[in-house]
Amino acid sequence: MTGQLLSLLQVFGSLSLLAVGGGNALIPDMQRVVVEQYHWLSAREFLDLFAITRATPGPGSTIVLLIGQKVAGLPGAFAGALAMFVPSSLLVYICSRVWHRSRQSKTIKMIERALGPIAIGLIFASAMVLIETTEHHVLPWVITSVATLVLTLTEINPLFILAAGAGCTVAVSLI
Amino acid sequence: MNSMAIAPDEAIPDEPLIRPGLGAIFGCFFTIGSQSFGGGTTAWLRREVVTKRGWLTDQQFLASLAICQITPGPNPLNMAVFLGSVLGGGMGALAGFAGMMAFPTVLCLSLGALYYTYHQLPGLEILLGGLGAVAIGMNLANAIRLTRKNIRKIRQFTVIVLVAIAAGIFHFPLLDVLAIAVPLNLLAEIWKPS
Repeated sequence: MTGQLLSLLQVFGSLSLLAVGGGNALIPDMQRVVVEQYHWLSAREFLDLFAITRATPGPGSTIVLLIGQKVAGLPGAFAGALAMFVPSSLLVYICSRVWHRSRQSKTIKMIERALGPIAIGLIFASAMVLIETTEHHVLPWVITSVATLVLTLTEINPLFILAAGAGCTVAVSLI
Repeated sequence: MNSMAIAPDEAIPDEPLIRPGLGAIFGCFFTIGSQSFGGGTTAWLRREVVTKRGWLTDQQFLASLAICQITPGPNPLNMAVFLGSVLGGGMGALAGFAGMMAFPTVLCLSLGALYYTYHQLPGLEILLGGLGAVAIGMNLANAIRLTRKNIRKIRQFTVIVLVAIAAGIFHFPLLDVLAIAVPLNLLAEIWKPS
């Protein structure tokens, strides 16, 4: 048990600071280590767990909770999550302090203005990549388009649109 | 050159617009962590932090977002820590971390227990298809709104389009895109061509 907790800490601790570009960039690496090297999960289980964490709210990398849960129950889940999330969060915290302390400087303001359009471009890019990787068929395209339109033009709570979108796909699959 | 004199109304936007308490920071990120089904967290983040609560300006939000994309770790969690820290110091960062992780942790572990018992969760893929399609729409709508509200110059608009094409269509690695786009746009910001 202790050995497995240590393995979890080691595996996810060493991946934490490599997750550049968001948690999903790590999924192939994680799969290799967890499935092929340690045999903690089957490939099928890994895919199923990935689907679960994509459907649940919050960060996508919560898959580490589920891997830890399989390996060593609740302590395993927390060991995996802490190893994965604490190092990167500490680094972000340090960045935030440096950024916040120098917020009055002209340079930081300049960088802030320069980063704005780039960040917007990256939001567009992430949506485009997701459309491509999820193999959008007719129904998802319709749902994405309607959602984009409604959420651009109205102040409606997105939860309603999420419920409607999920309802649509479930209804169509039942027909 | 009036750059030496900082007008009082210029100094204010550097600070968070409102200093929320720790409970409010936790609550804000708990809302995001418990409602962002299917992804779309960036849109939820802006909705809660900028639109609904007015804690930050769009410019502060976008700069934070860019930094959180450069640093390793999941973007939503990085944003919770970064914005929590900016809004409430070290304790704010902890409140953001806890708020963002609390609900997903409980939900994931419950679903995980179900999955490990029954070895399948029927209908999940179908549900996920719908949620994911809406989440993409949320992020697109968010990006469109951000553009309409904040982008006034052709140069800035060109940057958006080029970054979106490079990362979204040609799949250039994020770090390469940033390594090229950030210095170039910074230079453009200094020279200020119209």
